[in-house]
Amino acid sequence: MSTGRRLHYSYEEYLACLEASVLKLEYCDGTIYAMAGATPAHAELAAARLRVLGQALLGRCRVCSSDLKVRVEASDLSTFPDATVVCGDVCTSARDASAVTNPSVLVEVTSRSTEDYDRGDKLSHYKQLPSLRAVILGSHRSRRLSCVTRPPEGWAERDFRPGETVRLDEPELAIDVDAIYAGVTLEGM
Amino acid sequence: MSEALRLPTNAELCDEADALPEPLVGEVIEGMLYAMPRPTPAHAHVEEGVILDLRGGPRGGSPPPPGWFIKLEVEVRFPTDEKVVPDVSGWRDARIRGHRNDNPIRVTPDWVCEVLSDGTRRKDLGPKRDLYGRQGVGHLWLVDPAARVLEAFALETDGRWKLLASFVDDAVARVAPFEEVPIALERWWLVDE
Repeated sequence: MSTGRRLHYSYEEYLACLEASVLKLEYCDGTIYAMAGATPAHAELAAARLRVLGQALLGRCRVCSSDLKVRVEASDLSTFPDATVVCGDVCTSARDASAVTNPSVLVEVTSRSTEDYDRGDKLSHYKQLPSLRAVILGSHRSRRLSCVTRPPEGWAERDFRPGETVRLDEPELAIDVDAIYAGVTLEGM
Repeated sequence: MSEALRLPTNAELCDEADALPEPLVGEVIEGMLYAMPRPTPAHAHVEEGVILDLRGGPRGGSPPPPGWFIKLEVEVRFPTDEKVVPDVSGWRDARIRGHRNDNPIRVTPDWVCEVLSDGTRRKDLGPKRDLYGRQGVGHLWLVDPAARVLEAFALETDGRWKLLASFVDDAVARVAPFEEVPIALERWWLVDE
């Protein structure tokens, strides 16, 4: 590859870039973005979520780290959420056998550089996944989990703080905020 | 909070960085002091290649891009008192006029090139890249000598880094902000024969 400025990448070109890249790359409708790097706090929080989710869903759902690519076919987004929960058989994209298309729960740890995007446009992309039942957003600045759920009447969002427990019906799941943030030094603290 | 429990400010960390013994170089990003050793030969070879291609040098090739001030390993300090030493950084002449001899330079670079190595990869791809985004560095090149890859990114208005192009092995790179300069990447890779 020796071309200069690209205005639009095909998905195949994205996969080639991903293979060669030093970074995790996100693809959205022809544009490729570098995904944010992990601060120590971000890495701690992501690990805590994996541990708590893994224990809570043992034997019922698969809990995968940020190595797993998720694809939103409806909006042509491929990205690497901080954690992905898949309940039932794993479905992958016809364009990309390594990208899962049917997550039940997605988890993102925000960072200073990504918070607006995570809570805005990225969340809008995720909501177009038919299988998705909840998105859990962990704040990097305070001990707070934002839970965005899809009950029958439409998407709803609620914050949970220390001492509180996030409860989901589908999959059945309870996550203590304290368990996620135990021992984690947040940014700015 | 007592004085003993107070976290150091970025400015205080910069003072500690300045006091590091040679050959360590200190960077301060988001309240953390990073001490870096001297670059590896492969790392230094890439830096030399970038400088030769963008400032012109004895091996000839294309002339350097006009209107740019390109520097190797110069200290840059931001308004937040965070300080970094990018491997190669560049400023458009109009923005750096009057500050070329400053030490540290307090004008945000228009372009930065970071060469990755085992000891600095996590910092360069994480906090340092985020810092460049927060401070408005317009273009970022990441070079991995081990993988022989150059990736060029542009900062979007939402703060995300958009991939402009990636080049591998012996590709000839022409990419913003130096589209007019063809760069034969094979000259950047250190070959131990």
